[in-house]
Amino acid sequence: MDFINEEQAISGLADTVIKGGISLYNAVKYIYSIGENDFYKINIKDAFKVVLNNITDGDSLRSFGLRIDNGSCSEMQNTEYDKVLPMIIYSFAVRLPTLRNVRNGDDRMTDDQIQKVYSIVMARGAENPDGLIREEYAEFKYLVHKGRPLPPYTAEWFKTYIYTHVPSLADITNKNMFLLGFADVLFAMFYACLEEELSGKVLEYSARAYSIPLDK
Amino acid sequence: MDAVRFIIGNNNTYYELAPGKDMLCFTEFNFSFFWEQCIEAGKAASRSGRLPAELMQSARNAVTQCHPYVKACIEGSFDSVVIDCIIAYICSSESIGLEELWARCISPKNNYETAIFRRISEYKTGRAINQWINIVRINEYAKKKLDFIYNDKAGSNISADEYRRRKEYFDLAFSIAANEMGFPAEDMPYVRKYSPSLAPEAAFRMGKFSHYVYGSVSEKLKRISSDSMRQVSSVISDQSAMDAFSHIKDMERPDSLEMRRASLEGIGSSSVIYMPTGFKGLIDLEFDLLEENGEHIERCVSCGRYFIRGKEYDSPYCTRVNSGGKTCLAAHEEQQRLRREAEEKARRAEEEARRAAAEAEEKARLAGLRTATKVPVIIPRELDLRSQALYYNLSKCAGREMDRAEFEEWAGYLESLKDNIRNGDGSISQLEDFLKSAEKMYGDILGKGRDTGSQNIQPYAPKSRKVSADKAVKWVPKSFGSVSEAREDFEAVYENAPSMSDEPPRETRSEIRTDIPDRQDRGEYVAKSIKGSADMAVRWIPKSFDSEPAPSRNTDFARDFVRDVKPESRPAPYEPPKAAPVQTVQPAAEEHIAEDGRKYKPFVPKKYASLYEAMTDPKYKTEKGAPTVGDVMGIAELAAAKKDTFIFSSSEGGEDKPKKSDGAPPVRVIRSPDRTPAGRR
Repeated sequence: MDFINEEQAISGLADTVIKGGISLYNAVKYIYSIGENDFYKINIKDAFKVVLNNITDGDSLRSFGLRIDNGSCSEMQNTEYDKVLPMIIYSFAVRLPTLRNVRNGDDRMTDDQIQKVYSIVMARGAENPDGLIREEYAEFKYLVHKGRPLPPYTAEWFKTYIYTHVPSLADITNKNMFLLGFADVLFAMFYACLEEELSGKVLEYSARAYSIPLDK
Repeated sequence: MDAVRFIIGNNNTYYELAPGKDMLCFTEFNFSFFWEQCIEAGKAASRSGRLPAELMQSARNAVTQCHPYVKACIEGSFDSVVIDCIIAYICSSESIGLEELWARCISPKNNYETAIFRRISEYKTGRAINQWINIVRINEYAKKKLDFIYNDKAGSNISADEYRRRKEYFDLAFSIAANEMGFPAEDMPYVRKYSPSLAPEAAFRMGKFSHYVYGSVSEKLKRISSDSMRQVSSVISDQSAMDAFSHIKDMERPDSLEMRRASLEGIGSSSVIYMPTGFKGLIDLEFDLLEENGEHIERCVSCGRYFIRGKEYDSPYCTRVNSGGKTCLAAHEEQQRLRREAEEKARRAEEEARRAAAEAEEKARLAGLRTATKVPVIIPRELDLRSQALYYNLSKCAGREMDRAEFEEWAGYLESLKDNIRNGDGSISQLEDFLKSAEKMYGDILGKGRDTGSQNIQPYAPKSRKVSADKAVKWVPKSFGSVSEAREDFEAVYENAPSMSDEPPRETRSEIRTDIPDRQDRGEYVAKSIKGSADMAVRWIPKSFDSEPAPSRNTDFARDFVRDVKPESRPAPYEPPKAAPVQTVQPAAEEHIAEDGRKYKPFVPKKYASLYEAMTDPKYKTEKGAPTVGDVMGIAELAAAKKDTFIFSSSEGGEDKPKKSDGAPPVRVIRSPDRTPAGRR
């Protein structure tokens, strides 16, 4: 795809992926804190609206008066849970080949351009400890090239990691059950919004969006 | 009433509340400035994307003046009252709901949208309410409750019990409404009452005092280890309290001096601290404290606005400064002072006038002047005779040399003047001047020659004509102006007739009247003197029958005639027509047999011809027989003297029963209905 500034476009797409990861990571924490005192005060539908309308804003739910400190979500204040963030970013990164489906006329991103975005995201700390996320970049690249249906983005790896690595969240408590419940919906919806956000960014960075002839 | 102190959560400051006064200030507060500042700030923020700090602060400062509670909460729950006002303005001006505005700002692009989004999110999550709308609604609540309890006509005397009943009624109605809506009563705004040391955050509010106390009990508190606040429900509150008490139960009381020194710095003057859970709670507290202190709110008699009235201030006028730059009380007192001064001035003037009048009267009395009372004057006999003689002589000239109307006018003046003199309103000299001028004026008529210089002499006109009722009998009406003359003639004929007080003595009369007519002429003369026909005289109703007519030969018949008239049958007063011609009808022939056996008709004066004819009509009959000419003349004379009219009995076809009184023979006159005066009515 032709970009006005390809380096900036690639960097911007990488930032969006990373910010999206951070936003989902914080959104899980914020929504989890609802279970502390505000379970009946805050409409979770409103919380979803805010999160999904602010994909790259990691603290959008602060306007609901929610806090992600030790008081409201102490169960998530540990190093084990902190590893969820790079895993979320990784889960997004491996699906970057789907950007190839974004077309601006006949123009679309090349594999190299997508690979560069993926490399930047991975370089900024995306991880897949213990291979809990089974999807891989090459696999998605292949499926996209072949035009085959892509597996849906789910929170299975997240729940698996919690059960196996975060005992404080593995306990059967009201809050933890609430977490497992909203995570399934949030992850799927969030990725759909992130994909849309990335598509918008691609088109935003593309030269044709500004109708600028490249030969000049 | 003294101000009370209150606290709010998350704030260690004490705030003062003047019960009633602050509420009245709140209900009358003008929010227009705050509203305008907010709108201006909102418009500026929508253009620039940033909230203008100066306008925001100005608006906040403006709204804090409305009530101490707003001032206390301006850094807390009322911190975003300007944003609240902007949100309310946007929703009302664009006719959108909060949800739409929230969705519009869900991905905020600037600080302005972020502020709106966060504020609406706080609404949605129940962490805040629109405090601007809350202020407006609380203001409406306070006004309504104020009017419900205290809105009476200015100056009305309402008992404290009535005020209390109204308040309870209002509060109970609110509780019922809240209950019907499912709101727990305990969650409605209320006010907690604490002693200062047990109030929330007391350990921090009374910092110095608590620091001293902590120093004395710190050894015992070392065993306590708690790194976070605990939740204490109402169920376990006693248990938790006793757990805390267990750490200080061995505490000893310090000496009083030390305790006083420690407490001086920490304990304020108020022994009660109130902690409202909402704005409404504090408004309700103001009503309660007013009642508790025996005060109430009522309308000012002058300006009609509410003010607090109670033990400390018990005047129906408020102390607000009105448009005149004065308080209503001061204006009222000023008005009272001016009124008192005016009354005092008027009283002094009245006293001065009274004193001056007394002095003048005293001076007049000393000077021998008669100032106040009227002294009746007795007309000297010589002057009285002179006036009567002049009257007599002029009466003879009336209708001939002298115009009758002129004579009547003159005679009226003379009688009025005499009456005035008798009443004290006239003087003797006035009568002398009047007679003198009359003699000069009518000198030629009287045979002395008219004074040509009399043109300058004006007829005397009395000031007023005052005739009392008892003297009315003596007054001769104009229509019978010459009746006195006729009476004289009558008495001259019948010597035993009673003399009248106003008549001149007989010797004097003989001197004046040298031309007394003979008997036959006298009757004609009398007939001429009486104005009107005999019929008129008959119809004339006597005003008084009290005085008995003098016993005489010819008046006996008249007296009996009068006595027989039934009082209830007397007709209404009848005014004879003016200028009725004197009838000169020849009398009906009454045949008398002379000694020589010839029959002849007696002479009847023309004046009495009609009366004589009526009384000798064959249709009538009397028990005494037909009246003589003398009887007829006697009746006419008596009628003239009494200013009365004799009437016949009005029995129609029947007979009146004869009445006997005073030994007089009964007289019955029966006449036909068509000629009865009653029939004329």
